[in-house]
Amino acid sequence: TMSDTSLTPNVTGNINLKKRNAKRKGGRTMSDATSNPNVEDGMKSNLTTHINLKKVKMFDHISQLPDCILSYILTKLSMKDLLKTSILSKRWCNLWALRRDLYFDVFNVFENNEEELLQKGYLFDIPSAHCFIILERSINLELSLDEFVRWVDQFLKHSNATVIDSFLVNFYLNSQQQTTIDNWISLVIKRGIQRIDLLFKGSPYGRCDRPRKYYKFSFNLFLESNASTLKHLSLECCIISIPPNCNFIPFKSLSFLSLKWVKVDGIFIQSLPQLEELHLIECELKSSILKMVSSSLCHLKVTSCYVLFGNSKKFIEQCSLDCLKLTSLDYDGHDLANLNFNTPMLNNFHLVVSYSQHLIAFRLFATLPKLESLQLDIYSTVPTSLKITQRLEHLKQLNLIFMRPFDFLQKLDFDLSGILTILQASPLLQKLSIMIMSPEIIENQKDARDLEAFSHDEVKVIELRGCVGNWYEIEFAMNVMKYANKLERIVLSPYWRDDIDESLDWNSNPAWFQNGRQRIAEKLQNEEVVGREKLVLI
Amino acid sequence: MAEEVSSQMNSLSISETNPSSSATISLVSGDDIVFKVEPTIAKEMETVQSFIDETDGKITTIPLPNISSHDLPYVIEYCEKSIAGKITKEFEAEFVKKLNNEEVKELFLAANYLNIKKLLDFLSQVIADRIANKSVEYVRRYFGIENDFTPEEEAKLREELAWTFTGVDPDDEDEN
Repeated sequence: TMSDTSLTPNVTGNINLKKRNAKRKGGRTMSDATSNPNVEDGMKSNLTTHINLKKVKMFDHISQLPDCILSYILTKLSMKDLLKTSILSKRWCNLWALRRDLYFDVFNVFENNEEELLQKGYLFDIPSAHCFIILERSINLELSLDEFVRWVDQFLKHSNATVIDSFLVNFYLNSQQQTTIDNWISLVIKRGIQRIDLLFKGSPYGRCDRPRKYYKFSFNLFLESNASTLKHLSLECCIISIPPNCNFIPFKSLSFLSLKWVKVDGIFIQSLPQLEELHLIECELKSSILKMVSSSLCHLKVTSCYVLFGNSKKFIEQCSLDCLKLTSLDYDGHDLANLNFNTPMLNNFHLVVSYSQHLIAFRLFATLPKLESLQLDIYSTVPTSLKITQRLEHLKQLNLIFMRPFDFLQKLDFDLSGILTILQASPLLQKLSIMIMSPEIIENQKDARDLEAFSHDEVKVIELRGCVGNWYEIEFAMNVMKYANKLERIVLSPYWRDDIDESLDWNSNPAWFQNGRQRIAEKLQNEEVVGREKLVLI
Repeated sequence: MAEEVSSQMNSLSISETNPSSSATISLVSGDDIVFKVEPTIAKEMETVQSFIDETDGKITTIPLPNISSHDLPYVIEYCEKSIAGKITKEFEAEFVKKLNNEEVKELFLAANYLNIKKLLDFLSQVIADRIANKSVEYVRRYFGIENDFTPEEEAKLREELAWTFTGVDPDDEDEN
């Protein structure tokens, strides 16, 4: 099957390929040392590999491959399987030390699937603390806690790794394991750790049914090394403890910090000179004023942080941001009255707006000169009387999500005409998405009005989800079709977009949706609709 | 296994390409079968690409003595998908379904030889999945590792690591 022409270059080509291949190998080693953290520098010498191409088949077995290639496989193994490789043969005895990212959770340490975890009793179902779920799948601490801790402990004690890049523990751990966890952290610091994740909620199998004392993440561990290698730190259910009179900054290179259910002093966050991304989720702070001054911070997320007064939680009252580089902000702070932002680069903003705070919110947006994308979670409707005095000059995309206020029991009469006010104040808006959570058919259906006062010259796409055929939905759709001059498409649908909250399973009631869609279609048929061709019903 | 491979080989057709296109590259498998591929495919194979660059593109027939004509089509298929940006979870699941243990290992060696990073990474995961929760003996057989411990040494190691040896799956019938 082979022609002469393809045979001839074989001879010369082969020599060239040999030479080239040798070069390539050299080059690859260099780049591997930087780009692939799982390959050790010290393994370069083993790379005198398959340069002789023609004569023999290069390797009959995977086991004959050089260490650095085998380490590709090692990085994909569970911790349990990884450890097992150490008794394969003398060569493999220390190969597992090449693995630089350590990941400990129930699947990596016990069994790799839920059924087996249940069967062996590591997991069980217990009555839930939440009233709307009866049983919750939880970790069986009596059986698994000691075994897990011993396992991680033994693993680290046996490990000959000279470098560890990342260390993750996802398990329900508390202050009872304080000393052991401290030892783990000390050990990985000595190995040049870059990323630590201590996820002690133990998701998704944590225990909400018992009181707990959080593990203390102590600065003292970092005293010696100064931990300048650490770039990424993620803590769940911990206390960050700063020793008294502490005057050093242990995390000089930290660029990512995520704290969830963590008790922390704002001073700590202030002390991070390289911080680029910060998440504070349901954290207990020392002061009811959250102050952030940073010249490096680009992304910030703050959700429901609070101060404890006695036994009661009080949400933070003031938030002051002086962050010149901040481009994206996600803020759920319950009260918007005392927000003070100096964030001139902010272009992506997600804000939770509670009842009657719209005006404050829009005053804030007017102080953000680069704002292009905005998501508002609104716990009420947009008041029809909303007056926006300063326009949102650069806004291109707006997502509005309407939630039912917790203390609002009557059926809400969503009048969507207030949204037209926002549209009009955003002259460059291209895309508008509206989602109504828990939509209902109201009893008192009014007639749709023609709101001639409105017009818009830029908006191209509008989506209205959670739409079930109420008069205000129809009114909104008819008016934008008529008066938004560049509109290309308007989508109406009872469905929610599933990227908002995956846990809400609406497919369970398809009949309801069918009805919703039918109602929209019927209502629109009875109306005189301008621009019907732009309408999409999903 | 060796006979099996060679018998399958005979039934393989040579991949078809547009004969008018002079820019195609011929990859020659170890058993001397020519596969014509688009030059873009070669870009995915760093070893091949560096050879082409070395010769300023004058030589377009490249011998790959370490890759059999049984494995090469798989490699080409993966690279084509990769170029088209169509490597999805579904594609990978289908792709791996077609492969027995021996083929996975051969492709891993081929991917290493041709220096195709994405394929190497993907096959690493496949291999890891196939030895997950298996006994030490099974993994030895899988990798072709000769046990050079004395029985005493091994017993001692096993004892030291006793805490990790809970719940091993029964060994599958070896496919080869």
